[in-house]
Amino acid sequence: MPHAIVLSIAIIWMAILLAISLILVIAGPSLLEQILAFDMATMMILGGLLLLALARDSSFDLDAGLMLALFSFGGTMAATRYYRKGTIFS
Amino acid sequence: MSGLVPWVSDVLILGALLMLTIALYGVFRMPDIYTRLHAASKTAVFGIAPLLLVIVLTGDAAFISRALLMGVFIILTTPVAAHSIARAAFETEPPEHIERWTPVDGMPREFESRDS
Repeated sequence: MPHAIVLSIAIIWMAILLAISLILVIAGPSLLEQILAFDMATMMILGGLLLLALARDSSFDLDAGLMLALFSFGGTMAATRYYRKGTIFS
Repeated sequence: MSGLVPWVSDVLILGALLMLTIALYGVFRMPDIYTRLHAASKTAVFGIAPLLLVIVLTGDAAFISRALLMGVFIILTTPVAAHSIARAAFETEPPEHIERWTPVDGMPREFESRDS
């Protein structure tokens, strides 16, 4: 287990990174960069969930992170296929 | 040996945060979708994997099993998602709109025009 002060600073810093990447989701220059920033924001939420599981000493946050990684991958693939072809399933 | 684990965990957490910050700055700084993708693809291996290693270092079986599952899944799926974004960018935009210093078919644009 890491020290509590490092864990608190890390959670606050991860929240700041998440806020910046959500700004990038809104203000991306093109749609593909918004998709990319959304993928990155999911990674930030995933890191925050890992830190939260360490801070609260509960393994249920890791289940939530696993499902978040799963749906993030599916969402990115569906969005890029829709952007490329116009349909998700061809 | 076990007294060293909290300090190693601290170093891993701060290194992961440093890499995530550098990757986000790279997404802001880079001019092109391909180079932004290059910066953003570093978050999975260098940002999430040290945090998973910290969770493995706690030594609890419920934590270790979920962390290993998540690590395998993320390392398998992040290159696929990045390739899908790059393929969508390459197929929808004409290649003339790629920035000048992004290599097209392995050659930068200026060297390609110098040879021809």
